[in-house]
Amino acid sequence: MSIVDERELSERLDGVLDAITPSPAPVDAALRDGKLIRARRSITTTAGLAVAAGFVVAMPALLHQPARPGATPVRPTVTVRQLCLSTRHGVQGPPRQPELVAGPAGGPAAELVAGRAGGLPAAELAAGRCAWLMP
Amino acid sequence: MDSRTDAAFAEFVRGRWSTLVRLGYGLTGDQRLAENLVRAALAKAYASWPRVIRAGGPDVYVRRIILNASHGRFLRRRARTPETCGQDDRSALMTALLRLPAGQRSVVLLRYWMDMTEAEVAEALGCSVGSVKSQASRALAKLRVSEDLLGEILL
Repeated sequence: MSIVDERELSERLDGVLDAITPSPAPVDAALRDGKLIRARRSITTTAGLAVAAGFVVAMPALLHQPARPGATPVRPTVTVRQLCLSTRHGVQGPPRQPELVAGPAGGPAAELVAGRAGGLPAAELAAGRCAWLMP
Repeated sequence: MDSRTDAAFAEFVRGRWSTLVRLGYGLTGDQRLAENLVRAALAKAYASWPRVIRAGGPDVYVRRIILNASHGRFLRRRARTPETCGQDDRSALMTALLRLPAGQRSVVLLRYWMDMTEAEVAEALGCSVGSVKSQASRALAKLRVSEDLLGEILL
C-alpha cells in the first residue's frame, strides 16, 4: 500500500477528508465570539490609554515634589543701625544711634552697620557705605 | 459592525465551514478539535473583519490562523497521540499523515488536498518555495515508508 505518485496521494486525501461530516456551521456562535473579542480589545485599549494618560498627568507632580518642612534655611539675626561706625580694625566709632531695623531670625547673630563717609574704611564705603560684622 | 458586515461574515462561514473543518481535521486528526479550531479562527477573523478584507480576504487569514494554531505545542502533541484517532481515522494514510511533523503535514494538505500551487503554499505558510518543495519531498518519502509499514501491520 504505497503511494505511487502525487495524484494518488491527492485522491486518497480527498477520500479520507471528504468522509468527514462537519456539524452545521456555527454562524451565530462565531459572530458572538468575534464580538466578544472586539469588546475585549476595546476595553484593553481604553484601559491602556487611561493608564498612559494618568501617567502623563501624574509625571510632573511626581518629578517636582514640594520642599520638605525641615529644609528651611536658618536666618541670622540682623540689626541695622544708623550713623554708626564699626569696631573693625580696632577703631572705635562714635556712639551708636537707635536701631532702624533689628530682630532675630532663629540663627546666629549678625550685625549690619551703616555709616557716613569718612567714618568707615574706603573699601567698605565703596561697597555701599555699609558692612557686615559677624560676632 | 453593521448588519452588512455581519451578513458577509455569515455567508463566508457557511461557505467555508466544511472545507476548513476538513483541513483542521487533516492537521489534528480530531474532528471536535478541528471544529473548535476553525470556530476560534473565524471569531478572530470577524473581530478584525475590515483589516482582514483589506489584507487580501478572509480565506488567507483564517487558513493562516488554523495552520499556526495547529503548529502549536498542544495541538502537535494531540495530533501525534494515537488515542485521539477514532475508529474512522484508522486509515493508514491518516495515521501516517499524523506522524509527519506539523510543517510537512501542512504542506501535504495544502499542496495535495487543497490543490494549491507551491507558491501559494509558500505564501500561506510564510516560507520559501524551495522550502515547500523540500518539505513536500520529505513528507512523501515518509508517507511511503509509513504506509508500507502500516500496511504490513494491518494486513
